[in-house]
Amino acid sequence: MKKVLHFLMVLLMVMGLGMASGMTAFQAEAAETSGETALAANQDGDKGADAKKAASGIYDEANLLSEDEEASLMTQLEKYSSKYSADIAIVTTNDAGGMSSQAYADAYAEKIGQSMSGDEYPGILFLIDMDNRQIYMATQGRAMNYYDDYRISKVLDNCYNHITDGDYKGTCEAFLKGVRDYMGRSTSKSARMDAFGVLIRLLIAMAIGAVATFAMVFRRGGHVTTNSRTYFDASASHLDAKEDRFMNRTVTRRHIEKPRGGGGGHGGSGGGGIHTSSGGGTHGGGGRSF
Amino acid sequence: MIVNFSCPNCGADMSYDIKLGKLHCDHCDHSEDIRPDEENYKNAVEEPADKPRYCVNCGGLLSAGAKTCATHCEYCGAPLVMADRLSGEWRPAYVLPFELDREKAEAAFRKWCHNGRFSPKGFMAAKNIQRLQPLYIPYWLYDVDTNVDVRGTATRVHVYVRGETEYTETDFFDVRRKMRLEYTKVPHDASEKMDDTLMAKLEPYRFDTLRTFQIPYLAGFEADQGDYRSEDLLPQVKQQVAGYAAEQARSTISGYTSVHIDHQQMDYDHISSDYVYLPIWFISYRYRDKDYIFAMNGQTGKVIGEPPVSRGKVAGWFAGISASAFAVLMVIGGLL
Repeated sequence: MKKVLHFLMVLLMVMGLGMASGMTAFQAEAAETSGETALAANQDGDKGADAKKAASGIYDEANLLSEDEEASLMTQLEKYSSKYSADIAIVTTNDAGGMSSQAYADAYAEKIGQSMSGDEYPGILFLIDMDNRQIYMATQGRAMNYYDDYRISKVLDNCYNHITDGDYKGTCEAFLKGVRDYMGRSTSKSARMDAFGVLIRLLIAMAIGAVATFAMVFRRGGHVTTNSRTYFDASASHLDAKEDRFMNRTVTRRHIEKPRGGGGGHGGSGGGGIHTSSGGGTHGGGGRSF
Repeated sequence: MIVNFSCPNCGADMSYDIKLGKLHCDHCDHSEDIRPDEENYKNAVEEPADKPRYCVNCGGLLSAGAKTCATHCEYCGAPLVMADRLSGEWRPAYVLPFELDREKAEAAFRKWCHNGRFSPKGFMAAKNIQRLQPLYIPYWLYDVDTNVDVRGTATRVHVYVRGETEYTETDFFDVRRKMRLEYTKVPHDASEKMDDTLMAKLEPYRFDTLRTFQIPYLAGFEADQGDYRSEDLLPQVKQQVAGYAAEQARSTISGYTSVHIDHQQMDYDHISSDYVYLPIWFISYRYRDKDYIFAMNGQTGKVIGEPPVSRGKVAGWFAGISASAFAVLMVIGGLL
């Protein structure tokens, strides 16, 4: 008997671990394929290589970062850029030239040559717009596959915490962390299930199993099968008085807020979602005011 | 006054045969109907508890307890009934005869063992029945009429949206129900040593086959006299009936979002009770050097008692339920 018990326990654990490793393997595979295609694209010659150089970088036009900070961020940026085969840019500005953060970011991305095409390097640009007082994340080309509203929101949440403290370096680092977390990982539904999600489900399932089994074992000795009707004699029973008297009515009102579109979240409006810029390219992205 | 039934044909001992519903002689197959015989025992007076009793068949000294009303002689096996302990205030009004004879009882028990979800395989085969003994347990059956008056406040809530505003409309009602609810033959076991919760689990019995009590019904069975009088158990029974009445009255207040009872009045009348004997098969089963005890309703065959638990089966059910729940959760997660 004990053997059977142990075997079943092991079986359940193996199932759980199997699913967890399966998920991470799938994610790793997704990252690998993106790398392969990018390598093929790179072999398109020097022109491609030059364009790629400018498409990544730090353009601190508002001078929010010191030289040391910029250097340290640049190292990280280049590391990620080659690791994930992506164009990563950080831009700061004091003057958006009358444009919204979204428009400015999209235009900048196009200017520095981030690819709109789904076949080449994914491009991502982070803008700190001191003019509109917004932080904005723009995704181009293939990067749109890796950043949906939920993920953009998460990254911006992180950045927001730093920028409200006036920590511009921290904000950029939070953005780079967002690159590390999601670049190359498809947002398709099957990959959404991470190891943690599987573990939680396994634990809940085992809890359900334990409670149900315990209840059944506890009740195995037979239970009461009588109720208020078993000994009730309807023949002489009767209703003497029945009153349902209306007394008063109270009405309460509540104003409903109409939901707003876009990136959303705390701190005010966002913009973004999938949209077309004036240059004609397709972009994704989301923003947050601070 | 100890009674024993001798066959008029061959002189052997007769006992009540469950299948026939009559007194029957196993020796010569003679059987006779059970006739009203209260006359024969009219003068039976309960003798002092410490007075020794002797078997009317073989004369052996009986070691049965002071409350024993029916038993077998431990020397000659003759079925004996202590008529004096079934007289006066302890004369039962009714008896519910057994419907399951030994064969049927064994079959019903085997079936129950076989259906045990967590029972080990060896137990399910039910080959180790140590004892299968028919008992009559003393009970009091109560008729109680209640007059219940409940008063309370009920609400009906209606929520709707018009434009940009959500309206919550709550209507308040004053509700009252006054009902006469009658309950009949509410049983309560009169034996001290029988666990009340266990006995309650054996219910319900069908009282349509209830018979006027006659002494011969107990011939061949074990039975004890009740320990509690009708009035001793009445408070518990009243409480039980009050619960039924309150629940029934409450259930007539319907069509509301919420009901709150502010005031409840309950009074009782026409309380009567009958002293009866109800049938139970007592089963003792030996499994892996341990004795397990079960009780079976002698009329319906319902079995109660805790069978042994197989660890393997518990693990199996746990794994099965967990795996199914896990699969469902994974599917739900994938869809979100």
